[in-house]
Amino acid sequence: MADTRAAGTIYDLGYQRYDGIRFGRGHAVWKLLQYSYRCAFGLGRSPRARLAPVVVCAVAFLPAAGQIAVARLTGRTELINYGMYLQFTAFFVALFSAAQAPEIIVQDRQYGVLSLYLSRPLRGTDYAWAKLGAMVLAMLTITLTPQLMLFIAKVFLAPESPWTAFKAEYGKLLPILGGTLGTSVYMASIGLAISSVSSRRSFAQAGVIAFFLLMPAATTLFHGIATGDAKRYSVLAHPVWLLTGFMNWLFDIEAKRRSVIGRADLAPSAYLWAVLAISAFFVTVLLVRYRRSEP
Amino acid sequence: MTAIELKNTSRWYGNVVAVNDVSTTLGPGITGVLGPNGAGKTTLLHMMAGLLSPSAGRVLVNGMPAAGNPEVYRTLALVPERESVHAFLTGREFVRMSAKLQGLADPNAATARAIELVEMTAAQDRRISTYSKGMRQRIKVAGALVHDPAVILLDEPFNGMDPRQRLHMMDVLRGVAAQGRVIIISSHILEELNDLATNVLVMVSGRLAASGHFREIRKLMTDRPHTFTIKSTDNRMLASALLRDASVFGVELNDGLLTVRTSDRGALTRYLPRTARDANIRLHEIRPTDESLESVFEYLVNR
Amino acid sequence: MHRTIVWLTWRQIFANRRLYLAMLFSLAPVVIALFFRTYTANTEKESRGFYLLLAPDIVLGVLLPLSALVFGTTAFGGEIDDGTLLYLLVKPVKRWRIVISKYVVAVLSTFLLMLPAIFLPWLAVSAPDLPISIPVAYVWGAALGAILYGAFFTMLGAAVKHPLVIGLMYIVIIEEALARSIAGVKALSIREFATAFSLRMADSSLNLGTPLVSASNMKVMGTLFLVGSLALALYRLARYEMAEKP
Repeated sequence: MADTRAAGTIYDLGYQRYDGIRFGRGHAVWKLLQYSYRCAFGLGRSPRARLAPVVVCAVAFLPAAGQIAVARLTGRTELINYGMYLQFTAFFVALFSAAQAPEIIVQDRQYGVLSLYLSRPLRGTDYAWAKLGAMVLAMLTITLTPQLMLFIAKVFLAPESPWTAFKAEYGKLLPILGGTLGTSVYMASIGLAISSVSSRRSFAQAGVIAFFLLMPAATTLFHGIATGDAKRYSVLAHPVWLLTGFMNWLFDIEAKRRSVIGRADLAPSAYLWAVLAISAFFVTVLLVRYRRSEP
Repeated sequence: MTAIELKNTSRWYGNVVAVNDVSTTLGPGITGVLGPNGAGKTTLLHMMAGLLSPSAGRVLVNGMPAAGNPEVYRTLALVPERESVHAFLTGREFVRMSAKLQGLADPNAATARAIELVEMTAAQDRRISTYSKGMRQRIKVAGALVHDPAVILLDEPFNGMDPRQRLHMMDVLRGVAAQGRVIIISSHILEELNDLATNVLVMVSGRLAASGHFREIRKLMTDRPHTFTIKSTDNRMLASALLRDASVFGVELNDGLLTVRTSDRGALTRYLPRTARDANIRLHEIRPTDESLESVFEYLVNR
Repeated sequence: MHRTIVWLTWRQIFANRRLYLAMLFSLAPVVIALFFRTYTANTEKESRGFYLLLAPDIVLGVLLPLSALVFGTTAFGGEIDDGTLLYLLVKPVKRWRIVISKYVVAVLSTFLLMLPAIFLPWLAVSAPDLPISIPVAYVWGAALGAILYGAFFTMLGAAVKHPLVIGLMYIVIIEEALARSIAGVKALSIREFATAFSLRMADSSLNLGTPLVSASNMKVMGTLFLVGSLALALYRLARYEMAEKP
């Protein structure tokens, strides 16, 4: 019933103030990372959002499954090959980056939600780091898991006892981790940096795909024509060659003499530096884009 | 005479019926289409604008079917509800584009006239992306008026306008309507159409719930019977005491709850406390049960 | 075609900074060519070989489809996304004129972007046995590519919900992956048409290579692509209806 007191009074309706714990910046970053990680796989969204990541994931796992099956049937575990794995799946890993990096970084901008994020204890650069972390973790999941599957298969399917096989193989664990981490950081930073420029998801996807189509084509062309040092160093610009060389360095594989990498004859650690430098460049681009805490 | 005719018009999307068998004729002057969100107002307006074809029945503008006929737009204009306008154009460019698409002989003069009518002359050379919501509405109206249409359909035009802008827009619309045009305005706020619409169509869940003169409809909606639920220390005693009042025409007792139906809410609010006090009954809870707009319209439909 | 709609679509595509990004994109071949000049011995023979790889592989092969994709899908997709297509539909303009206007803008903008991408590297590489008729031949190919891609992608923008992704899938799956290996699929790849057309338009004395798609195939499939896409776009626009907001 309406109360008709003339003077205005404020009634205590029992609204409570929140006096509990308030988490800070670190917590915000961690939660954003978790959420973005889930978005990268389309979890928590409509089934259509899951289509692209699921397909790419499946394809990334296929060669692993294939190799395990073959090893199982023939009993020859030495067919399982980590170092060469990337060459089978490089394209699809790049495709994952092209499909999902825009998903996690452009959607916020496109729907105007970015300002909501930045009005929290989260700084602009915190946001960028969280997204980078999420993307790296996502790509790590699809690159590392197949390799671990291969590793486990090699250990358990070996003719000798698992423990002996493990002792023989465990030295490979570190290169596996390093290789997948390096690949993930490389691809994630490129995808995110290019996506951060656009405000529409489709343009960002086109942009990242353009990069992964243009760079190999241009580098192959240039490499074919160039001579001398330029020819050798141009190998570093081609995503797949660069990552293959990187893997070679990690696994201590000697490149075939007639392959592109073999002929380039660069110091093996050059690939490591190139991967680090290129990733650092793109991460910087990403951070610069988000350095101001305004959308 | 210009008129819009709806004959048994229905529109459905799969299993969802958006507009359900609406028949009416709309003539010159301002007609309001009133209804809660989701009642089918926009669908109805879009059918009148020829953007949707009816699933059943007909929609005729001046005797011609509205849909599938681009020529009808020479005398018809739509001001859509959605805020999106080409943000990269200036106000003047937007109205001028409208004029040129209409094939007007002198687009510049028509543009200047239309912009002046909605009082946007000062801001016409700024990009629409810099406009406030009310300014965007106004420039949309300018774009619609530029070719002097005989029929103007406005979908929730007062959204986002402050009181002054709204009053001004009402003046513009009244002026334009006085020239004999057919103007249809949709809204879900009854008061927006106050002093503006002569006739009103009320839509609820796709059906035409009421039509007629605005004042009459409003009276029907506010003077309807009201229902209250009451919890007290002695419901039965209170019920019999309340029945003595002429405005109360029904009581119901069940489960410790007393439901009272009355035709005069004001009278009950005066009568109830006195009755309770005289009978030494304490009131624990009084609750009106049908104050939502939905129930108002429900009532209208079930009448 | 309607002049005002052409003007509107042009403004929309090149609103704000996108124009500059697009121009940057078309400068990529020149950058590669400059790299070539600085870091290689660039003998005459190598220059010619370089250009003969650059133009079909990079310019016609990557830049053409991607820019056609962006311009084509934005022609309709941009308006649909922004929600402003409505304003064109409530005017006394026949819908086929709307389709053609947007198509023309898509084709023109793609083609104009290709011109510097073809000529600038040629200028940068400048070899005596690279007469101007060679880039001109590639310009013909770019024109055909713009016409066909433009139709296909404009149609996608009008017909499907995620035109850019589907267009990308066409480019990547059919053109990149399949057409390279399976010969029959080449008849479905617009890029192959573009390259083949350039080779046909070039004087045979220039010895650019043999086209990989037969002339009759090109005529048939090309017409099919063009007419089919535009017809489908028109059909979709005619059926386009504004739904009620839920």
